[in-house]
Amino acid sequence: MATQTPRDLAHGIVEFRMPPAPPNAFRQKHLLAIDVLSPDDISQILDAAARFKDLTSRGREISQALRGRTIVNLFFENSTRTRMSFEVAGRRLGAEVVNFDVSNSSVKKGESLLDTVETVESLGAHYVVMRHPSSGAPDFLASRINASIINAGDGLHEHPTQALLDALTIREALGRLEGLRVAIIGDALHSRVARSNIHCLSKMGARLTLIGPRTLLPDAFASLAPGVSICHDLREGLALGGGVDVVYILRIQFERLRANLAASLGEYRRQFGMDIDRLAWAGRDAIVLHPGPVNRGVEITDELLAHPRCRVRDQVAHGVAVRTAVLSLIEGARRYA
Amino acid sequence: MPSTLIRGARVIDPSRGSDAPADILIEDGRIARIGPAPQTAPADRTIDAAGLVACPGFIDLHVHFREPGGEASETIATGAASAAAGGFTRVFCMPNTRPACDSPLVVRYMLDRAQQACGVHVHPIGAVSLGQLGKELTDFGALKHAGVLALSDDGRPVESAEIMRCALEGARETGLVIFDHAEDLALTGDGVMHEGAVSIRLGLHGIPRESEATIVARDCALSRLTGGRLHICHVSNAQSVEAIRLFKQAGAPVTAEVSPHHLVLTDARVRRYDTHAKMKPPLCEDADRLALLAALEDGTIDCIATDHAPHSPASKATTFDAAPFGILGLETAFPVLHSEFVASGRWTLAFLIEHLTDAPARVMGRDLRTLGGDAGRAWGTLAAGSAADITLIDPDREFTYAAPADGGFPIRSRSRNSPWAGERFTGMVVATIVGGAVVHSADGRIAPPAAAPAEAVR
Repeated sequence: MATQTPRDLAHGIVEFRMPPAPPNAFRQKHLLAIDVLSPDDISQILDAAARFKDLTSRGREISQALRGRTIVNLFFENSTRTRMSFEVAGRRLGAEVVNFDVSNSSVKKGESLLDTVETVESLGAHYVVMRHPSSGAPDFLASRINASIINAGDGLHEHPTQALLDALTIREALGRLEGLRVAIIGDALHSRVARSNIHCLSKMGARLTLIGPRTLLPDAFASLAPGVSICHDLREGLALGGGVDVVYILRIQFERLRANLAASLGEYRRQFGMDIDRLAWAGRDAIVLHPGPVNRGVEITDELLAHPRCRVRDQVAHGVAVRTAVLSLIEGARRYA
Repeated sequence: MPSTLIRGARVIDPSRGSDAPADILIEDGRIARIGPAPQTAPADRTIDAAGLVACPGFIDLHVHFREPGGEASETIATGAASAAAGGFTRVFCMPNTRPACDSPLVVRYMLDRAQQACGVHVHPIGAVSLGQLGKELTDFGALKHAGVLALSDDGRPVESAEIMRCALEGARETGLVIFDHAEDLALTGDGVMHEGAVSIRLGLHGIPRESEATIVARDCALSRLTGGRLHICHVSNAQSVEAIRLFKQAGAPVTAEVSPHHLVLTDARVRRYDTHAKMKPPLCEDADRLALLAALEDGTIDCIATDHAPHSPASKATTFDAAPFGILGLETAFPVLHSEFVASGRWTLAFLIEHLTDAPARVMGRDLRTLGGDAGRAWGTLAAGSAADITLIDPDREFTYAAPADGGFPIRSRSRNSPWAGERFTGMVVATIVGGAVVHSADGRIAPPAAAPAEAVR
């Protein structure tokens, strides 16, 4: 005999009586890339994340907006922090969270991404949080599935929630994003974090300087978004406009060094490694960010990591708030759709 | 064989520099008479071609029919039907089949399969190296004896300059042409699209222009050294055009082709990871596209070839980096180029037809043409006495490139990997005639072939 579970009931109620969407409502059904968001979309996510952070810090409960929803975490690449913070965010909002363990699944045996999509659909997923080594894999899935796709990192393309939590960290520390000068140091070519940050900060009115060796920083990056410039000298780049406000250090990937795309590790450290002395080349109150995990002593020294102007801990702390905001805003957009 | 009279067409035959109304009388599969209407010669059958253009059947120097080994994507029968639907009466099949076309045995197999297809002339291209592995040259003489007119390792480059030098020496000995897929695999690396602003934005590994251009320059230099005939396939960018121009001026025996997609599209067409815009060489930027157009117009590039590369829907339904390289070309070549360059007034219709007929015939050269199984019959011409390979075009007819269910005409290729699916075009191939027999018709006035060959032979 078919019985209605509380889940079904909750589902039915929210689906049945929705007031019309307010004109400025968040309308994104997926989070595929920052590239396709508007500045207003980004502001709404940051504002919601700030509210969630405030509620949590005051020990308050948040509304169970995702009760009855199923989130599938579909990670084709290893990730601890990102997957866990999505999981915590989903549970706080009342959703069921299923971790699809790719390493033990038939994907390893040659099952295609399309087959995986069908498996996920059959689980009744409303949300798929996805990390995949191929750029564009979330776009591929979004065009073939009813669930909302949240990109947790695709190839070299984007890592939208990382950029959003970075933006929240900067906004909180410096009070604004508009008009700031941000330096991003390192291997932009192979960094999805860099691409998402460039789009996000540019849309919010910041000016960006990308700093790194020519092999890892092609000129075409300057055309990625308005207000982006390129500099191959660390000191010159950090000192731009009287000193940058934010120093964003990318993780160096050792396999790129082996592929002759950068000089030796020692040479890279000499040219682009950040320490407390070099922070003086930036603006007087400049803050330091790093997406983690950190290669200590390579792109950033231990001393700089422990420096009061280093906001890496805030970044980590903002992960859950931003992912909670993304899930709840998309849930709203799904209901109004 | 019954005689046929094609009445009332505007006949465009660039090989004879003619563009005038004329009737065409076909007897014994050949053009018996061609002249101004009205013509009184009695014929068993009359095709009313009023309002249509009649021209020599198109020739495509570059197709992939996937047989043997890749029949899920295309067979020689479906490929030939696709050619007929696109107005092509003669095609050259690249040897990257499984097994590769590197022996007289495979050549014979393909010719045998072609016999059972709709009638379009199918020329297997022999592999340059055994298994296309780039290590050991194939037996050029034996391949030529089996019916091969050109040699290529297309799908892959000939990596070693020394092997390419030897191949060009062999081409000189045998009189065959080397069709060159020019690519430096080391520079291509993991690249899946043109290296530029779009690849940076999408986070896809880029292929620099120099991956093609450096090998174009290398092989042109080797062609000049050896005197071996070299034909550069699917030229895609401005740098390669410069290299070809330089070596042609220096007298190297080099020709070149360009594909419709490189003349019409740029890397922006990749949009959000559309695998139907993924091919090798990749779509480059607008400056490259304009350089290719100028090169075709000034003769640096000799002809148009489609690089028809079928891939099954399943293989293209994946992430951009995992999808195979290549798109369909035969059924869209004429309408795409006609809509883009003739309807807009940049080219005359005769210019387009020339580069699909007489120009590829000249690339192959007279000696090879007479070897091609039609001894004594010319290709790409409607001169009296030549084979009656004729394409009928309605230049004003608009149609949608889509399946009948979506408002179009049957798509004859077994695959669907086209960037132009669902698009509307002006200028349509309405019938194709090979050796006097109608092999394709989309016009109610012209009786289609008795059985749809694509269905008849599997």
